[in-house]
Amino acid sequence: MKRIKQQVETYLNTTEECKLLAELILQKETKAKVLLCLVANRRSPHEMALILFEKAKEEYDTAIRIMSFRLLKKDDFGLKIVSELQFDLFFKENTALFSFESTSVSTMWSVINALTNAVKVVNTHVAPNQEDTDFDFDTYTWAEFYTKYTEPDQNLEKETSKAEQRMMISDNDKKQDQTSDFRTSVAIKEDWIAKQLQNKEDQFTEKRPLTFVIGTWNVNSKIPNHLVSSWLRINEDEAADVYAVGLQEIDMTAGALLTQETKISDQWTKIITDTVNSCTSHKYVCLLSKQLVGIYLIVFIKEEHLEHVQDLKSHIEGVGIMGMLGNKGAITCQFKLYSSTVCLVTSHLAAHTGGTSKRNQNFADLSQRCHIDDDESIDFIFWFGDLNYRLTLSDADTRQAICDNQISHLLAHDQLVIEKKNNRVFVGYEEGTITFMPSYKFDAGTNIYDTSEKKRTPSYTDRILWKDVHKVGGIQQLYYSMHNTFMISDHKPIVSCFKVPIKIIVQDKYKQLYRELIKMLDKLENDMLPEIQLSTQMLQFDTVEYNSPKVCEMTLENTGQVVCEFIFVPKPGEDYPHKPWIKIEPIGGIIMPHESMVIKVTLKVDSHMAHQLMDQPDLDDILILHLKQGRDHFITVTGKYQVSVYGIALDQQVPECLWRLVDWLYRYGIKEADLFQEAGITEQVHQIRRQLDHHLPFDDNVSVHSVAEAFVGFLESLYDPLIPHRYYRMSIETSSNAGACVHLITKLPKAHFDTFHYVMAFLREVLKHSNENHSSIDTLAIIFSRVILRPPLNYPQLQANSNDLRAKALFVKHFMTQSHHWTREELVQE
Amino acid sequence: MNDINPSAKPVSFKLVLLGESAVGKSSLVLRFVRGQFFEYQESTIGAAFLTQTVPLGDAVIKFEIWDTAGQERYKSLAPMYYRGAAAAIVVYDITNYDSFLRAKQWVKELQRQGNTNIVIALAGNKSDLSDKRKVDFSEASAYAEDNGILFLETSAKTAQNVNEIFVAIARKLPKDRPITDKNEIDNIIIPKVGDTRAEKPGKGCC
Repeated sequence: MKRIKQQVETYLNTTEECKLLAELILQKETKAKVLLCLVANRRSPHEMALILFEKAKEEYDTAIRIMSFRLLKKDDFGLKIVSELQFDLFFKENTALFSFESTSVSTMWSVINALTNAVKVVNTHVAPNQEDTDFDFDTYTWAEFYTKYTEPDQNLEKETSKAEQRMMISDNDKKQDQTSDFRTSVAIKEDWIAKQLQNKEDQFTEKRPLTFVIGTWNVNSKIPNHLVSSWLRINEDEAADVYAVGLQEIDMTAGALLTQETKISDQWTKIITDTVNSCTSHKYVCLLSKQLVGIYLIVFIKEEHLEHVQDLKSHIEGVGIMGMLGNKGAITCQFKLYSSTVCLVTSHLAAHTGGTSKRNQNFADLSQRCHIDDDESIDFIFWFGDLNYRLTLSDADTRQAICDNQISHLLAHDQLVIEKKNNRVFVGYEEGTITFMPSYKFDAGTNIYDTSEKKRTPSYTDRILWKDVHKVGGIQQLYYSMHNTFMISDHKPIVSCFKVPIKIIVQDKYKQLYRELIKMLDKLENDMLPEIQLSTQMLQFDTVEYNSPKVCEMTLENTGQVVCEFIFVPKPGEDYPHKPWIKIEPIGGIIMPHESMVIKVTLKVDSHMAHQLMDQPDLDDILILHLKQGRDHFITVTGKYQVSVYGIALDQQVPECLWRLVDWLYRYGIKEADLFQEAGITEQVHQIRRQLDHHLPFDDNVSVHSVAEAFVGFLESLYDPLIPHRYYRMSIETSSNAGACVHLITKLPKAHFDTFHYVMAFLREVLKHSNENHSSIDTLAIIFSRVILRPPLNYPQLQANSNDLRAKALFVKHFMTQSHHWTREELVQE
Repeated sequence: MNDINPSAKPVSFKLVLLGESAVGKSSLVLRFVRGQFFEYQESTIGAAFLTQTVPLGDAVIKFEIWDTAGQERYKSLAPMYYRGAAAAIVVYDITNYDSFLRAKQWVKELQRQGNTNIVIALAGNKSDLSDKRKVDFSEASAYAEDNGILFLETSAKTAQNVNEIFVAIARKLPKDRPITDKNEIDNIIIPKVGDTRAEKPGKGCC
């Protein structure tokens, strides 16, 4: 077995792209060895597949082959617990159903958890399969390796028929039920507990033999004028736990046929109630008394058992005239007594010697219509009544055999014995040895068999049978006899007494087992929670400078047993999982067991945030890393923003640093080739920013382009751009009208106006040296309009298109061509 | 009848533990769920999650336990965990009077902002260290009574009253409540669509 595992691992490693998530080895009596593997694509772990590997049956053949390969699709498969070590895996579109058996509970549960986890991941991440189109294998390129070996669906079906010991075809409607209830692992667990309890019933139940006395009598419309205790043998010493009495022909009037219930049943109820409650010191409670025309059933239980009776049910079905009227039929009384379910059935079947097949049919119909066959909960069935099966001997031979006391000879010709032996009726039922004479047909008031003209052949019409449905054994028949002393009817009453092994739950043992099961499941469930080890929960960034991203990395290692899906989530009352100056890559993902993922956390303060951080430069945040279906981890981020002149708001005058930059560029850079067109050196640009912040001179060897970039960058960092946000739209709209543009400038706050004017004057100087510095009005307009005219944050993104860019450049150009000098006051006067 | 009803379906309840750092919240949970105790229990930075089922007479209660971080700096995150909780255990350390004061604040916050019918239990933990006791049993008991909450002194170390406090809570929970969807623990706010700051997570996520 180890060898197979190794081979499978080699197999899987060949592709490098997928990872084994769970495996389960099956070993059946056939020696066929199958390995179930759940695999996922390393690069996109929500792409999962199930692979069944099979080892060749021949011992010398060590090869393994892929038996089936199946990609998991949304809502595609389900699980059902069969027993403590068995579960079924089934697919929606396919009729294949895989039955797996595991060697230990924990192996089984780890596989089930991996599978239910896979269901969750697949259901959230994989698009549902279109009904008509086939599954798109193109997106699952990693799977090609396997699909070469198998045509997924065809192969499945082919294998289904081949390997019957582990795959079965489930019927379609049953499968639908299952699909609807597999979704939660909670349901699976409950299922498993129930199955476990069922399997381990012996550990917490004991069998207690309870006494059932059952009587049946065709009374031929007569009513006795006395109690019937001798028939039912009711006395102090033999007080039974349950008495069930079935009568036939209590009322054969036409009226009874219409109403089903008549007053006669009340008389019988009284007689039998009085009988059971007057002959012993015990109190009996009537569970049920029902009438169907001539058929009548009454059941009593000893009062002490009453609180242990549950789920009392009764069916009444007629199979008489037209196959439905109640002159023939059955009444059932079904109930759960402690933990065993008993079904008591009394019936009157079709009459006459030639009616055998009709009687067989009556039995089949009644079994079905009273749901006796299809109710799996029933443990014991007692079926009694005038079943009407006759003796096939001639009348003379029958009477002779009766005289000779040759009961076995009679029974050899009993229709019921013959039909039952040939499995045509009462299949699975048992009947005790008959030691009494036929119960039918007597001259009323005598013990003499029919002397009338009809001269009916004596027969064993009245019978009591039982069925131990789950074959637990232990039913004991104490007696089975006929009572000659009752002479009012043409039938004699029959009675039988049974010791029935009723299952009783021992509460202490049951509680203990239940607690153990729950404890085990809790443990398994907790062990299967997603778990992640973080390399650190404290990300310290120290100082962060303007526009200089700083990165910290942390490693998430999946130390749990299941695929772990994580996501950073917002704190209460916040919309985003992190502050605006933090970037997390990736913000969510899936990590397979024993694999790791690096999370990059970047702190960057740009022009959008620099200003607000000036007063409160702490860069502190708590990140919440949430594991789906599991715990949260907090990650503390600490840092401090190095406050800079970059990002300031203009208030009074042209900022000092701008003077410095322009002055420097005017002195040393105005003739530099490609001024404002070549990029600076990033580190120098940062250095210049630091020197501006600390009023230090620039380095001697600093590049002109670095200073030029620092200059543009400063303009870009301004909290409110040179042309303030609130004038942005107007600037765009008036850009083609030079006069309007000039007019707009006059409205700017003084600091903005002065700075704008100062920058424009400088750019006009730059253009004067375009021969040396290669500048053109168009390029300068594009470069500077971008930083001078910035759209407000809430400005519709769609409008910031190329038209805007052109308009912005045009706006700035008006001021770069004008050679005369303005002052704000002059303009205002104009 | 005090029998276990085999047909009773487990009813899930969210339970949250609150209290100052190092009073023994995680230890109480680990004692209850796994029957373990560690003298040096790592500090919880986050919110740990475990489940435990308690069979009661006629019902089966399944606790979904959120064990929160006690450090003060995570205080603002606590609502994430007590929001929607059916029960809370507020823990203090009987050898630390400040932790008792902090516990009272938690009770107040829960009563003001927690679920209307939240079942609150006050646990005076570390009862095994009674020689260093700083919080009188009678004081805590009177406080609990005044506020209509459960109170027990517990010891995660000796297991004293640990099961008892969970069972006491279980008994006070409404049994007819529908089963909480397991997904409730994933009831989180996903970054808004179109949030350009939030990096697009890996393929197919969200």
